[in-house]
Amino acid sequence: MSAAIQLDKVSKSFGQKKVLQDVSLSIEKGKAYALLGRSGTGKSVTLKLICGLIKVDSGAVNVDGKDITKLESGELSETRKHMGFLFQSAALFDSISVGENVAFPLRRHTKKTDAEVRDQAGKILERVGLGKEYDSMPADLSGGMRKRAGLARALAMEPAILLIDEPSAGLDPITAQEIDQLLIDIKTKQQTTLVVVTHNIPSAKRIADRLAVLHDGRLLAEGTAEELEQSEHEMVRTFMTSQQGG
Amino acid sequence: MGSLSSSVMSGAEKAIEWFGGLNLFIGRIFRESFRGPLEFTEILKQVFEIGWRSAPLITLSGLAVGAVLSMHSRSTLERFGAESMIPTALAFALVKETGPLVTGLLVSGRVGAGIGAELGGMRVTEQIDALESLAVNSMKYLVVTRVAVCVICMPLLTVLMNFAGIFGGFFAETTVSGMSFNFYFRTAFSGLAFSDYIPPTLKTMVFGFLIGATSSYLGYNASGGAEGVGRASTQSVVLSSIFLILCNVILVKIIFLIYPETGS
Repeated sequence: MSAAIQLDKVSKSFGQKKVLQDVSLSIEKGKAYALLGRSGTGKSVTLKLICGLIKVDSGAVNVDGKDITKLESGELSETRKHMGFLFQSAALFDSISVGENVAFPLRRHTKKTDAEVRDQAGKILERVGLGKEYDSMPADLSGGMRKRAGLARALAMEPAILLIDEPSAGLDPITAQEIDQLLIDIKTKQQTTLVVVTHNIPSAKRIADRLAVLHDGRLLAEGTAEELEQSEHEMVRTFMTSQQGG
Repeated sequence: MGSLSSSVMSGAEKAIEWFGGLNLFIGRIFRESFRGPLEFTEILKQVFEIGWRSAPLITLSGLAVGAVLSMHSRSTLERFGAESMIPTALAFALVKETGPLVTGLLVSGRVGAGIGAELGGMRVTEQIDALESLAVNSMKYLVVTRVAVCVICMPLLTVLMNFAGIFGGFFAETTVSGMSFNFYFRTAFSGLAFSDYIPPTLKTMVFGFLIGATSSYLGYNASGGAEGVGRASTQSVVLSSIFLILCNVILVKIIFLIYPETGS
């Protein structure tokens, strides 16, 4: 199976701080990939590099065979139309309603009528359990609800690639499991490639086909959950087992 | 002594870097302005936010400025028995300089702070990244629209300020001397020529550009959470006001060169 996303010796620094150093990884189409690691090890930066929101210092980021570090802004926009991004903070547009947040990409990138857009946005909101919140403002939602609304917006264009930063952070265990199941459904039914950044190991195991552990800006280990549990790196084994019940 | 010179050098480096960044940002504004599509809905929204919502502030301030100018003009001109010149003096003062400059400073306070805080807030809460991830050119959608609306609205708000000022002057004058409405307005506008009115009004388009570009630059590049947003908002007002006042000197000189009669 071909790679949907490929990072080739990617390095990124912010000032003197080296966030990523020579990171290479390959993510197959239609598979789910979890990025694990302690806070500040470059997981969220990796997601932003894949989406082209941050420029690499060196290396290549191939998305569907195109090196996005070399794309013009118009081409990059076209590539992004096939991607969805759930931000850690959800990043909902706070000046418009939850429903209009979900409708936003549909209004801009499709020729659907207003009624069709509202209908589709409503259905997506129902899918994440926010069917009654179309007209609510983001500020009126709880953290977990905002996260789900952010996921609904990321799903609006039925993306081929979904980048998700901490899907279960701030959610109660039941809602977190529902979101996990939703992501699994999206992967299996729509053949969407998922890249999930998480600290929740049980959640990562449920969703992901393969996992990678980043440490100090380097890719420490990569493989299935079972392989990582048997890793030669003690830090990886500790990481994989310390949150078994989390 | 050594540490003083190194801190001066470091400050100068930062200032040069900042101005370099602003110039690149302005270059991007121009480039993006000529790229489709036109963000018509966002422009309309900003006309309401930036233009329409500034109107009450401009009108009230104009009335007050006009009244104060009228009182000052009276106290000076009546020494020479030239009270009948009050409307003319007031109209000249307002139209040629006070109206455009005060409008610019008021807009830089209200709109500059607003743009700096809004874009800064969007930056630190990743909303600008979210726009980009949804295949929207954030520079065009957020910045070009706001700068364009500042450029369009400034002359209109200046006209509003001028008229409000002249009305404010009339209320102040008629209260003291009972000067008639017809006499006041006929005298106020009789001395004004095209070159007295149009160039100072149109120069406010440059003010609008400075306010929009400076505050957008500071907001768009804000960092550091709520503190960073506050800093972007405050600096937007301070820097756009300073740029506006300094640029005004150059613009007045250019107007005098193009229309020498306005300087006489």
